[in-house]
Amino acid sequence: MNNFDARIDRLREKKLAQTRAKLRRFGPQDEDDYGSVPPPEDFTWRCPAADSTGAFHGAKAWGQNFRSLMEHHPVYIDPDDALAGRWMFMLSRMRPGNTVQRAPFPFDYSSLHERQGLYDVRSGIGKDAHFAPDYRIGLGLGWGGLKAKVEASLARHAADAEACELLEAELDALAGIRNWITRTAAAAHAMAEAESDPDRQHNLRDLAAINSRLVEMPPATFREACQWLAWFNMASRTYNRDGAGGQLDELLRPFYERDLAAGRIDEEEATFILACLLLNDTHYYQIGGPDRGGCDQTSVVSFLLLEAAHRLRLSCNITVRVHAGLDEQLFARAVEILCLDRLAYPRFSGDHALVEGFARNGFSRELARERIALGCNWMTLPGREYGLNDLVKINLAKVFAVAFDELFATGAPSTEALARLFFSHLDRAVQCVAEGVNFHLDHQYRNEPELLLNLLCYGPIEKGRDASHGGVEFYNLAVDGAGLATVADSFAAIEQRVEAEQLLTWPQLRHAIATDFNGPEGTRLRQLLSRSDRFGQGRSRGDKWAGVITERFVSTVRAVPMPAGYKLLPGWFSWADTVRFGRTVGATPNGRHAGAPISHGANPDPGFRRDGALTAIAKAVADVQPGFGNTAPLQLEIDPGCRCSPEIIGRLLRAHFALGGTLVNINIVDAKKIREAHRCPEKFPDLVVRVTGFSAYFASLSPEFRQLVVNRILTQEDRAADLPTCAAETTPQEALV
Amino acid sequence: MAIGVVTDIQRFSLHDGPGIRTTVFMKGCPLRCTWCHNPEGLAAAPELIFYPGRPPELVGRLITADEVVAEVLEDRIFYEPEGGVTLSGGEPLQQGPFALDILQGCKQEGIHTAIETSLCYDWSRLEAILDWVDLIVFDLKLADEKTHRRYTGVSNSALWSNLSRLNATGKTLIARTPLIAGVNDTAEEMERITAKLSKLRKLLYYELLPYHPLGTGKYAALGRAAPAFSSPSPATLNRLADIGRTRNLTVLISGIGATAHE
Repeated sequence: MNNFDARIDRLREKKLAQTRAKLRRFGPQDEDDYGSVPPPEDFTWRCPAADSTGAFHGAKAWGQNFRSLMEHHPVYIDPDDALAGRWMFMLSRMRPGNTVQRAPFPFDYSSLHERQGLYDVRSGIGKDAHFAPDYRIGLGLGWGGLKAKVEASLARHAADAEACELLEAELDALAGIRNWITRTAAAAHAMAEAESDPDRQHNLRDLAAINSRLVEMPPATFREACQWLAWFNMASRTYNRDGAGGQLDELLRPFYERDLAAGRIDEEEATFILACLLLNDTHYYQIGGPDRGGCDQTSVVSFLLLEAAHRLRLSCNITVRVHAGLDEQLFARAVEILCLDRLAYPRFSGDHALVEGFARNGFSRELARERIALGCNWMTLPGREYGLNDLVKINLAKVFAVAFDELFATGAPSTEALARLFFSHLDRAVQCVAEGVNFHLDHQYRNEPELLLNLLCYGPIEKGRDASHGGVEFYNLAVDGAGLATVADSFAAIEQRVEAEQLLTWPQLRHAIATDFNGPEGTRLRQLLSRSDRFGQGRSRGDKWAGVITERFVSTVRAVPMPAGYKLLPGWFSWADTVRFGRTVGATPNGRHAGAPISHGANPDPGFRRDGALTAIAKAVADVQPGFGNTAPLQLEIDPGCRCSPEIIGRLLRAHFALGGTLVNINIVDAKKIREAHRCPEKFPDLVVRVTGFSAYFASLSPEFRQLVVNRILTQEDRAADLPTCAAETTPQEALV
Repeated sequence: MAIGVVTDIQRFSLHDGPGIRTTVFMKGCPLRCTWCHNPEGLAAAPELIFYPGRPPELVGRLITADEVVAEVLEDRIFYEPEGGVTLSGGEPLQQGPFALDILQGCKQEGIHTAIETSLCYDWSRLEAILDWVDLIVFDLKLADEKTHRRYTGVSNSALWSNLSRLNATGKTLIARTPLIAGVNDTAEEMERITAKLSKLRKLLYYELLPYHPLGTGKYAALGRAAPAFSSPSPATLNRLADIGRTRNLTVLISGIGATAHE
């Protein structure tokens, strides 16, 4: 084993131990694992700029608090690691009253509360980040250059109060970060002096020298560039979670080529450094894909990144952008690593539909190609676009429930009347969302400015305006619908069982829903309804309704007037909110019990076809793409015993993208293993699953979330028990080497 | 347009021929293989099946060939380059005119067509569909006529004559043998079968399919006793595969060309 391999193995083991420690200390986390490590047990810190309740808002308070947190942030150095530092806190989550559902916001929007509650709307008001920096700005200027840029802008805006407050806060943020790096460099130096192992001592001396330089100077080498990115990532995580990366292969290629030409680096060392960057945090990165002009950006660095992920074998969020000119070898290797590691990376995005969709907003295809995969479900223009991506959601199942309740008070019930009511409530829900988005854009800069992301955007520093308040060039706000299959299947079940087949009456249906399918008759009706035509079967009533609902959702979102040419981009995505959204919705006519999770993203419900055909899922999700540059991701669960070779998966991906698909997340998990891991999660500390757009350690999820992932995988297995089988269906893994 | 009875149409099938395929399981079979894993495919007519804790379900639905073709076309984009449709069963040629209409409909749409068949019937049935089928996957269960009759209820004499006529047509073929411990997992059986196979001109490969018990739950649900069989050991599988390989045949075990794990 060479030195790099041994170091990665030790770093990996330490990471798994840290994940276990986080679980013990903080309990299950139903989100991305991130790269954070638990702080020392005795660490204490309090926001210096907060009111008596601990609340704070406005640029000045955020700047002061962040600076103080950075100045007190523990230093973390691992002598095996090519990069220094780990992050430990999220300032945004230290505010009282902050929850995943609702962010603190000191401005009154009680006029929206009634509709937000009625339709279970995640308004996005007060939510942060979820757009992307352009790292090139930071890699070019360094922390010293950024400070000089802010100071120069401050001098130009002396008479502009909003700009002055923002820019002074930016200087606080920069001072805090530079302090953290300075202390880290000093600690590395001290550790080097005390280290007896010559290799480790050498590494620590390198870390001291690199970080001393990076306090002021822009990075000059490949390793320095990775360290600089890690600092920005860690600082931005600490500020408000952020997590958006960039086109990482292209960002690092110039550094790699320079070092290679100078004989300073080889592929092995570069892979090791990249593995350390991926270990440092699970930021979203895109690799491959077209440049502005359409030429493929694949380089040796793209391959090295895949190999780094493969070598590390931990949670990782790399997306390969699939387009007509994509390097075939990169695509093949990406799919191969997905199958080899079975850790749900990489993900794949579909260039054609993304470009054509974004262009339908009136933007050029050149611009659309620069809009890349940097979040759970979302695309953005790094440094140029503000988006509230993945933050604004409408629970369509709740909208349906409101319409269903109202149906019986309005005369003779019918599917047609129900659809009319549903769409009219959907219109109200979308209107409510639009008002919320505009309210957020009016006030967010006085609540929580984007001090970190502003630094690497084009405009906020120059104009002295927060990214949420006119700082950047584009405002394309994502609005996601959740629960498509739940609603489409409910309409289909009623149309089929009540109207076409007349197997139950409207009053029977109403009673069954009201009593949550209680009693033997309720059970019978539930079986009848849940075995009706489903979305995803292909040419079914469910498919028809999914199409109708998509069309109406898209046209409603697009029709809402927005000020200043801002655009709302419709998508289908539930994030990990399927559980929370389900809790507020009673039983639904698709046979779903009250309080059970709603359907996942744009996917058909598990069990939608007896064969669970991946082609049927891929086609169904391609058919409901909203088509304006926001996504409707396809989530696939693949049993490794099903003969699904990398070639077959590659074909599925290509076909899905040819049909209009935008983004694909894949878990390759065998049912036996996931069942066992659900029972004894601690036995599988390194099992990573892609819950939705993000991936997480299975053991770190709450039992409820584990159940959700398990259901997606096992429902199909249960359904398949009574299928006709081919004689060849013995699991090859069980029989063969 | 013919109407037929199918037990199921499975999309994204990776077991029934090359590439991504849609497999149409057609109901009705003249054979009564004692180890059959699809007992619901034996009777020609739709029948009720009773799974515990569920309402009775009808197995087998009447469907037109047009509807089958429409379902097959749903996955057209996924078939390239070598996938397509496979008619399976049951015995697809029990419903000859229905099978023919499906195959014709698919071929006219440019879809690769395959059938999985026993070859235990009159040549005329096969001849009727030959122009519309690209690949024929056939089972060689037992070489010995008497034993074949004992375990499947029919003679294999038609199989051998059909096979030699098929060979003359130059059709692409895949041969398969379900291997049942104590029934056909002997070197002698394998020698006789592979001797015949080695004379075929366009045999893509020969696949050994160790018995699996996936169908046993369905026997109970149909109110019948499930057969008690088992699979040969990995060592036996490897030995039998090697017999085929010494005759220069490409031999797979459950789709894999590797050695079975011992």
